[in-house]
Amino acid sequence: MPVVFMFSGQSSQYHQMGRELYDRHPRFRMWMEHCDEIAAPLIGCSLCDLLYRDGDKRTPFDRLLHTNPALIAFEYSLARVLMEAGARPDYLLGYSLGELSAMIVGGALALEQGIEFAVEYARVVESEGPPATMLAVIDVPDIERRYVGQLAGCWVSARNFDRHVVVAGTVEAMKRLRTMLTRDGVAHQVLAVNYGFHTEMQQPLETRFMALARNLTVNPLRVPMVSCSDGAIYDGSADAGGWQQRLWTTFRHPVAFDTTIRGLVDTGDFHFLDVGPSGTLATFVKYLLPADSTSRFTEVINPSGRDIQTYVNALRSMGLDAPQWHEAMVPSTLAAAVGVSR
Amino acid sequence: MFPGQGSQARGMGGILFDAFPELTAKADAVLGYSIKELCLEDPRRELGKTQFTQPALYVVNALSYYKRIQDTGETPDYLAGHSLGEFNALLAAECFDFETGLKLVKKRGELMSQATDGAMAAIVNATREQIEALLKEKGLDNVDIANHNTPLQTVISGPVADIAACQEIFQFDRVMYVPLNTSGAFHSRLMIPARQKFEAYLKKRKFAKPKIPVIANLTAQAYPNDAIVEYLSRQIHSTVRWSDTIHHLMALSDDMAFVEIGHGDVLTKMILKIKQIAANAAAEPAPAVRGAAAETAAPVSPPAASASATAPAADATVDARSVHNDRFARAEQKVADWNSRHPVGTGVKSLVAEYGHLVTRTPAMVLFGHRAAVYMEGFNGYFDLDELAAA
Repeated sequence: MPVVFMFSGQSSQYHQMGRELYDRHPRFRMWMEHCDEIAAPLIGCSLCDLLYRDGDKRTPFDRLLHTNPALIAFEYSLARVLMEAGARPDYLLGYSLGELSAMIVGGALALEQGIEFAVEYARVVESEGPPATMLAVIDVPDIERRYVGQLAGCWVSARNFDRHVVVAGTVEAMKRLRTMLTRDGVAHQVLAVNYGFHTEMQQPLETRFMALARNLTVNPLRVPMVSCSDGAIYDGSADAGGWQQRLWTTFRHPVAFDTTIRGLVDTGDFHFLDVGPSGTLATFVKYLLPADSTSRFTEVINPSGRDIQTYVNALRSMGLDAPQWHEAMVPSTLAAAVGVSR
Repeated sequence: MFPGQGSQARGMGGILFDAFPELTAKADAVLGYSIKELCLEDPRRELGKTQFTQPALYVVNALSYYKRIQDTGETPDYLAGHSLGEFNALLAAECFDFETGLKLVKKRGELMSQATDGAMAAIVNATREQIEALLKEKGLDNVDIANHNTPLQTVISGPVADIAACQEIFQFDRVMYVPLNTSGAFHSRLMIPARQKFEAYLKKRKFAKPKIPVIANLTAQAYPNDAIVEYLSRQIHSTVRWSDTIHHLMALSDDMAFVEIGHGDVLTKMILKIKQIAANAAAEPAPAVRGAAAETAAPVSPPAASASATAPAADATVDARSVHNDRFARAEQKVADWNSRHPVGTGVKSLVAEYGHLVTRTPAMVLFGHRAAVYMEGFNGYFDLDELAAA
């Protein structure tokens, strides 16, 4: 069954994400510190300090300058250790910012460039993007019709599955919408993103975005990518102009996760692996798969903090031997770690 | 020092083309296209293609050099260039003129771009000796060392399948494997056909002897007189001995100042690493401490992981290096000791887990370059020698 690595976007991050893996998986820690070494001079502080020293997972972690590189570092490091354990993605799928992680893992962008781009774009958004609120709204598939009068200054920025959409808009407009949703008893949750991604609020940033994107050196992709904007599969011709435009489309226009996944599973069965910190994309897939589907979905890490167990389960779901974790990778685990006759 | 392939980026050269209109026009005449447009706009997305990358870098390096001489009035005491950059070092030493050098580079770029059946990858945090030992152990005889950039950064080059096979081998402890996006296996045996054609091309020309010493990629020593044809042709399929080149230069003077001429700072970063590694090697911790670290095989994480962001990297690198070397030698020793005392078929037991009576099926061997292990009968797995005792 072809394996799809899925990389989640903004608001899937939290303090202490992957903490147990960072403490006990030497290679995960090494890759995180490698990314930290790249990011630290750009943001003026240590990513690993931000993530693992201060705050628990309930402490707000929503400053774009920090969360952008942190998510990419985390997703890249997690993908690397999965691949080092023998996992081989057949497709890469990036949700919003996850598109950058996918490009890096697929070899289209150098890690250094990807992190730098994420940091530079965060600076542009922080300096020029008007503040906004992003809201996950549950159980109102026809939100545009039901709240037609309340949606001025708001846009649907993502469709995750039928009963789960994201709405983004100005702080004022979203306050009004939330009042109505609360009145109607509609479940909703504010996301840890303070800008209106995937809406018209991004439009004024296009020039500066494209100026940054033009500096990217894009290499041929080694693994095909699935676009969450239109569901198309890109096999990776290195047409830099096409890549720039596609990146902008990804950040500017709504995420169509629902139709992207449905389009894929219409063509066959897939194993969807959520290589983000929250397992949200695996959950979305769960709700998107038809009842009789034999496609599978797995999270690699989730916010419970039991990272090793979740990670090992994910490896096993792909038929891979996972080393038994003790307090650390001590010699006694060698038999299990390399005890393979394959 | 002049950088080589990998330092190119759109926009490089900036105002230099307008500052040197005559040289720019000469370059256009040799190349048959606008070098300024290629470097600044790259409208046809060619800058990443070897046959375009090499002339573009040569021109930007050369104009940067002339600009620097103009601005400072200083001339260098020594010259060196990384791979393609060596042509700029020889140009600065007046072995040939600007146009001749550009013609050579154009030819070289064309020949190298025709080799499209290879791949390259960088391996970081392993020593060259470790890499060569592991390649030998795994029977990857077709993989060559393309660049030895720093004591802990090596680029390998060879057939696509062999380079891909290296990925699994070079991911242990803090060793990083990074595939590179090159069109071919530069500086490897696969480039021998290109070398032969380039040599024939070089032989038709006359070169002056260097007026300033140029440290050669091939030998990490100064170019002898009359060696240009041989050195430049062999350089195509030989290791770029950059780490040795820098060490050679550092040994010539305590206060050797290194100036990178061209776009970017890739060589400057390498020198920082080389100096850090040298400084840290001079101040290694006491052997007892290193022994303890190796003994527990604990995750090799920087001791200052929670300290400020920029500092730990260097420490981590050096920690990894000393621990690596130590563990590598210790593993070899353990294997030799074991095999001298325990023939295949020895009954053993595990000291850490209840596996019952075990019987070895192979001699002990070094795995991953640093783990002393033996394959166990009926268990389908390797056991670390540290956890075994004779039954």
